[in-house]
Amino acid sequence: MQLELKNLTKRYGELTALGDFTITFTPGIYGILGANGAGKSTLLSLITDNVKRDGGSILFDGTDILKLGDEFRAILGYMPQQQGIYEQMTAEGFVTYMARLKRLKGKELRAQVDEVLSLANLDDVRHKKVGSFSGGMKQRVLLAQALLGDPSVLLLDEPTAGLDPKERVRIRGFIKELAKDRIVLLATHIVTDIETIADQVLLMKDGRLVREDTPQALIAAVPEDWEPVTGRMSLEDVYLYFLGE
Amino acid sequence: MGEWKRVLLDPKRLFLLALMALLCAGLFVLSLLDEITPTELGRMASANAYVDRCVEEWRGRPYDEMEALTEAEHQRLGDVFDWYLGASYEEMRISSEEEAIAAVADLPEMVRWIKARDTREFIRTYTTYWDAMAELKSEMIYLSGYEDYLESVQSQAERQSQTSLFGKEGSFTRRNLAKTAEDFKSLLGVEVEFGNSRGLLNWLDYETGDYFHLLAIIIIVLAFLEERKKGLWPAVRATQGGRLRMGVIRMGILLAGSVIATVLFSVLPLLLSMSIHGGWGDLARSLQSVERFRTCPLRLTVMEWLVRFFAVKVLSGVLIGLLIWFVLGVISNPQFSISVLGTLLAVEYGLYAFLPVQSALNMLKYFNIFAYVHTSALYTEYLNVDLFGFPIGIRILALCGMAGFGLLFGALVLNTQRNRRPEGNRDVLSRIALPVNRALDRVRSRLTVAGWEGYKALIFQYGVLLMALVVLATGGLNYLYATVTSEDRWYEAYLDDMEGPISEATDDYIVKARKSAADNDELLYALDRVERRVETLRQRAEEGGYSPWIVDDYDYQIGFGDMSLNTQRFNAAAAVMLTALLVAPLWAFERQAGVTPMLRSAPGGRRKLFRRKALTAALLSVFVWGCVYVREMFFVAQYDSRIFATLTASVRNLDALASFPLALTFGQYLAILYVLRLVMLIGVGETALAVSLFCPNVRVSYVIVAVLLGLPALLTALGVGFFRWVSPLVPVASAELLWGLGGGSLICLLPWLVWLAVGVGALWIARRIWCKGN
Repeated sequence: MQLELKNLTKRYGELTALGDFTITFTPGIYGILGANGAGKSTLLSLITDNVKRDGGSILFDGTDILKLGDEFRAILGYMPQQQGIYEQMTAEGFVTYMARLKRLKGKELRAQVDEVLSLANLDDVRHKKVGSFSGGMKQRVLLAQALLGDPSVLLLDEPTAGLDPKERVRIRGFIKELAKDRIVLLATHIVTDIETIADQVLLMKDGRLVREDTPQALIAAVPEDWEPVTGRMSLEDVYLYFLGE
Repeated sequence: MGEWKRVLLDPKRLFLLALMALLCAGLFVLSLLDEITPTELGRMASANAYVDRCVEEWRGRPYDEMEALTEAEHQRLGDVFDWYLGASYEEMRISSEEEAIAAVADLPEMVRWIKARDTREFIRTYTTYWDAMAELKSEMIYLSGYEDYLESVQSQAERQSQTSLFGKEGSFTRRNLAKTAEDFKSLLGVEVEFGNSRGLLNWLDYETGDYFHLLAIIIIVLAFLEERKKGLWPAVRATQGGRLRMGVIRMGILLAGSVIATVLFSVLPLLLSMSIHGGWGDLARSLQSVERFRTCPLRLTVMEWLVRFFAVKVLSGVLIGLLIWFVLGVISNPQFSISVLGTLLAVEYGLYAFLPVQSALNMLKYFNIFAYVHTSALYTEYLNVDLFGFPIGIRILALCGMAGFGLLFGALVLNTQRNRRPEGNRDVLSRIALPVNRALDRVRSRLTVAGWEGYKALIFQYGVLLMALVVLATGGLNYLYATVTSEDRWYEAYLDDMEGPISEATDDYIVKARKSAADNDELLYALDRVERRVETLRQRAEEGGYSPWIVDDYDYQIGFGDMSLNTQRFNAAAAVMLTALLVAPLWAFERQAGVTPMLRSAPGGRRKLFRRKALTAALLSVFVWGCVYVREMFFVAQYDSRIFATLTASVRNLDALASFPLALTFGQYLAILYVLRLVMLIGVGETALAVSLFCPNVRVSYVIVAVLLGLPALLTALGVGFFRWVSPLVPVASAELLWGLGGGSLICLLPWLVWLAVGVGALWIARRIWCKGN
């Protein structure tokens, strides 16, 4: 299974949000690091076909995702950055609705809804209105819906924003478990989110891929005379060194 | 001062209130008209001037003399009417156009239509003048008998109290008799005077103003809760004056708001009504001089009553405002609070509107929010309800209730304002909400995508409330399309009698009718016309290859033809506006919630979801169609059932449809008419759905669909000709186009095709954008 991005380009007027982006994803966790406006969300929006591309192609196992259409979306799980959610629905109601849109039915639907709510630690509040949830709880509801349908490609945009440290650790561990036989793209500007779980890290700046490698290789690539910000060399230093921020 | 300014001087709110005031005034004027045309407006003005003149001339004369004068006026109008419609009898007073014009020289609208020889307009004008005079006559009869009426109340009470039929001593019935006599005793000797009451009466009939008043109060109360919606509640509550003091200030604002609402939606319509109908000089008369106040036991002048009424109206507004503020303020969940408020209002309205006056529970009818909405009923209806065996007047009951509930809700509101916290309140409702949600989730887990779309539309987008509004709004539509007055009574009577297939029995009927008509010229003349008509129909049917029928053109004219043009348009405008508003939130709601990227990333979130949305829009359109047009079918079935006897006849038997391009029966014709309306209305719904896709939130969507679809339709219905080309109104109404096809004009197909193309095109573009990307 592979997801291939070839010369992917997106412009908003004069601004190039993503320029000539080329990469091939295979199963594993890809941490996408970059400042706000680096093009992380645009990249995920292009993969979900929520934004129209200006150039290039996205191929899933050799076929363009536009051609695959619903077939591709059937193996896609997407958790957007914005907390867009029906505040009037209960957590279970919202996940059930999304399960319907993911074409789940009957017992399978009920089993998966139960499973993802449990994975997202929402069992106790499943019958409460989402509108009464804290930001972190809403985030977990969004993650739960992304997991429906056992997706092969999982796109997570800032999945730990608003979560407390304990919850972040739990979610990180959970994502790591999920990554077996899946392509997980995790876009974030929180370095610690991906430090321990990402197999590969993509550094993005101004819509371009600055560097891509394993966390260890990236850390090793920072010159020795660089003074670590936390006393020992980490991805934060990589971020600051390569992205200059 | 900041809070006063924020609530009362907010530009958006001011604009909304100004718009509502304009709409309220406009709807008041429309409520006075049978049809919405400049001609009708002129006719109304002319009839009002006629009544004003009569009142001024006759004022102070004895009632019997005035009654004779009204009869003379009716006679004058009737003579001209008979002449115009070609009646011939010995006592005919008018025999030429000159004489007719001279007879009604002081009635310019009558003269105008006599000269124009426009029968439809002439009949309508005649009816307007006749009805205006009949109203005056009825007032005179009432005034001349009022003293007797008061005395009869006393004597009746005395008589009834002496018989055991009316309960035992100390029973509610006996006490009620005594109280009624006592109440009316104070009116003995009151002097009732003849005057112009039309301004006051028409204003009292205009209940829509009360709903505008209610809406204005809701708008003001919602402004108090804005801080919660915007997440500013904790910040406001943390300020020095953000709790109790803020509550007191807001109570002052509510009072001021109620005063403003009373001025805009009660005082202004009254001034408008008075200026349209005259009657300024008659405010010093006793209240009982106006028939509607026949049973009002207050000894006041009209002016004194008005002052008292407006004061009560202001206080009613405050009471309703406090109640709404309390409900919305004490329940933290906005949707739940609105649902509770909606349910409360619906139950209260149900009790107010449908509980019979004689019911043992009638106290709930008058001890009711809507008794405070329609405050005038407290003065125009005399009724004592049973309170533990004692009769209490509904007015006293409501006024005492106003004071009591005002204090109670005032205290509750201040308590909520002071003690309710943005977070961590003891929430009793959430304990109930949880098991309810659990049960609902069990049901919702079985919903398909279509089911979910329907659920979202009805519950989350308040579709249920809007649908209730549609039912209420369409209940007020007029289906009696034209004045049902025959142009030639004998000719019409014969046709009515002979209606059915033309056969030998038809000829036999004519022969028999001729015999019984004997020497009556009028009947013989009508029979000649009938015979000619039968001949024409036979000839036309032979040429066209269908069975000849006698069908009354007039029935179809007033139901579906030219004579009903304005009402057909007005009803279609209402259907277009309501459909557009019902569908408006469907896509905008998704954008507002910010879920579109997620929906579009799901395999069923594009084409499937789009199809389900389109289906929901279509079903909502069908609902409006049912409310407007199925109701029309029932009306026609009830009031003009003769149409149904001709359903198997060919439409070409009707003169207006003689050249209809298809060989259809009336049944097929009507089926096509209603199906066309349904298809066009679905087209409107789908267009609104497409527009909704481009709107960032529900509010914007409401405004845009109302402006793009609803407003042009309303303006067309109001007679602004240009808008008929840019509005779906004419194809939705369909009747005039189908009627036009009957005249052989194939160009009438164009509006249907254009709007069908618009609906399909809009849907296609929306589908492309939603499914294919940006």
